[in-house]
Amino acid sequence: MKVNVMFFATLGKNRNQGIEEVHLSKGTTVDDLLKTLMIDTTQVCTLSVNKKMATFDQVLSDGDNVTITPPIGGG
Amino acid sequence: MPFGYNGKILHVNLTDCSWEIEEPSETWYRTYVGGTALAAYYLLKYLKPGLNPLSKENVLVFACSVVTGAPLSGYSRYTVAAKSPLTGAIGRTEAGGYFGPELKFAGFDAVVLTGRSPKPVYLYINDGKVEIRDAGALWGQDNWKTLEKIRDETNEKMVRVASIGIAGERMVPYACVQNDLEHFNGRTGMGAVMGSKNLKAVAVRGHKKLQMADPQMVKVIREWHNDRIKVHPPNVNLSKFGTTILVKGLNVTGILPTRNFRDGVFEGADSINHETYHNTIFESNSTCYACAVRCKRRVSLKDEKYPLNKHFGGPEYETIAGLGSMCGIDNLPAVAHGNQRCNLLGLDTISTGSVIAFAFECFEKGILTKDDTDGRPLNWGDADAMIWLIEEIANRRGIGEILSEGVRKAADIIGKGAEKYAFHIKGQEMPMHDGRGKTGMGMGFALSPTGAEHMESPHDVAFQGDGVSKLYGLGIFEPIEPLNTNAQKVRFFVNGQKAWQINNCYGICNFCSVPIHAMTFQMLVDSIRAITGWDTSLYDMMRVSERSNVMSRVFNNREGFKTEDDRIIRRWHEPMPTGPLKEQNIDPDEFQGALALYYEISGWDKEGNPTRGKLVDLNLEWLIDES
Repeated sequence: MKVNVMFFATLGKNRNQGIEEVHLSKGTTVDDLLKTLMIDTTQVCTLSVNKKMATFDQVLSDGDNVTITPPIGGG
Repeated sequence: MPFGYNGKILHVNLTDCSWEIEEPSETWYRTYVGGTALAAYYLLKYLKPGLNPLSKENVLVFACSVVTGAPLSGYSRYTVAAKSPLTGAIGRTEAGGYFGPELKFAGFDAVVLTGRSPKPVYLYINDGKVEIRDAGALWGQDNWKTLEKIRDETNEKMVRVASIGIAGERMVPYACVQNDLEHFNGRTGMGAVMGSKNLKAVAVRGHKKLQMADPQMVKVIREWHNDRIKVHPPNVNLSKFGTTILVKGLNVTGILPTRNFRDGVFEGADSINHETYHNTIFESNSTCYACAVRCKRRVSLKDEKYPLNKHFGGPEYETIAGLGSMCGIDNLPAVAHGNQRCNLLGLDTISTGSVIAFAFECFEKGILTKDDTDGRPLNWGDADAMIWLIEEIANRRGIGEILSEGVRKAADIIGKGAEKYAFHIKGQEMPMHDGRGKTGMGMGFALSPTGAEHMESPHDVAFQGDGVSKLYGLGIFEPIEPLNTNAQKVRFFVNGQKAWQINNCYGICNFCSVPIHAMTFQMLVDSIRAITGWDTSLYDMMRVSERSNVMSRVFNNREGFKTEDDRIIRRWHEPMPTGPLKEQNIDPDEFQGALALYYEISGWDKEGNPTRGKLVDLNLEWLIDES
């Protein structure tokens, strides 16, 4: 299956203008996807799948759109 | 019987050791609910414009909210407020921990202190009983010894104590108030106001059960919320690493404040990031009342030079950057030790870090020399100099006497062009965020009534792409571009600020709440309804937030603040010299245009005064003659 991943800030560095189509096997989770992309989970703030907030253990489906932004603020 | 709150405000006159209890109406509580809104009400009502913040006429408010102490993650925060000795504007600052809930359990929603005690005292509230106790033996003691002594004196191990260290006693204008040495009302110098009143501490103990309108619904929300905290990515990371993860995140993004905002990339970031922290000095997690996030850190280290005690608090992001990258220091034990010294002495670590960075840059430029520093060089990266300056500032000795005034006044005293390196907004030193990488947050720095402040509004970066879905509840549907200062950004800021400031009015931690963390707008509203029994809505809550902001604006305007005080620092208008955001700056004209649009959307005139119509709209007619 294929999912579209949109990266922001330096998470998108050296990637195709921050957008990447990733081929995955069925049953892949967001956590697996991040490992495939070599993104450390600590560097994830916003994580959404199809415009809804997602979790690391969420199972992805063919055609899903994933958005990832890095941690950015707080006290 | 009210639900969620006591219906009682304690008023204490320290001059004659008297007190009385006010019982405002439900309408009043619905209008001012708590935190920053409640505090602003009393400051506007009781303070005359133009008075010295360290005079006995200043009013000091400890304010919980109508929901503080409910058994939900993050519903533990309280505000300390007064006219700020650092800025001359409204001063207010929030902290979590256990103090706020305990004050509620002791029978009061807020404490309003006026006057000045003729001798050092502490206020002790125990299950509704009020005592003003002698603090002669506590004066001169650090925050840890103060806590221990009050525990002994009251024979209450679980007494919760908000106290000041010697920096507060000596009225350093950025002295903080702390509780349990892990939770800090850090900003705007509220510790100095306590010191000016000879008030060493407020100690509270209570056993009253918080009455809630629908406890079963609160339980359902708690279980939903805490389950969500376990899986929601930003909360998962906060639980594992606290805010320390931001060092790496902001450094790779190119906006980690480095060497007094000269740069956004710190070459020593790996030595002070979350990985090093948790591999070297981390002792355990800690938390606030009823909170499942557990983002607080405790640290320990057996080291002759920079020992760390697990009781004295672990540095969070702001402190790591403030005493670390801002000063060019990559020695994490030294940064953590500096943090613990600030905690014991009672200094705000954000202002302290900024002041030390200012001193280092002045030394580099030859504005300060060894003649000014008892022969001691102040070089970037010198951890020993950082620790030394903390002691000098808290004790107001030598160069520390000048630096203890904060960068604005210190630059005036030093002269020789020092003001070029004194970075502040409205007199308050800069928190550890760079507006060049998140312009909406930059607007928050400019417009916060307390001066430079990073907790004024949500930070832009989280709402890029489909991240904007978190803002759908506010009617914002287009992705946010962090580097723009256009109309869309102003629309985001106006609405984001109102939503974010709900947390400071209702005393809820941003790390548990909307719009970024494990809470939804709907569940947030449902929680307030379940606790108070009120028929409320997001609209109503955002109006409380806006009311708080407008009251603060009126306070500042009558103190003489003008639109030109709504500004950002010179360095943010200059191109970033290196890193991923190289050449990025905030265009001055665009930024001014954004501020003008903000006034217009907010119902403020061109001079930044809320209009008569806006005051009427917010049920603030009583301020029409003040604006």
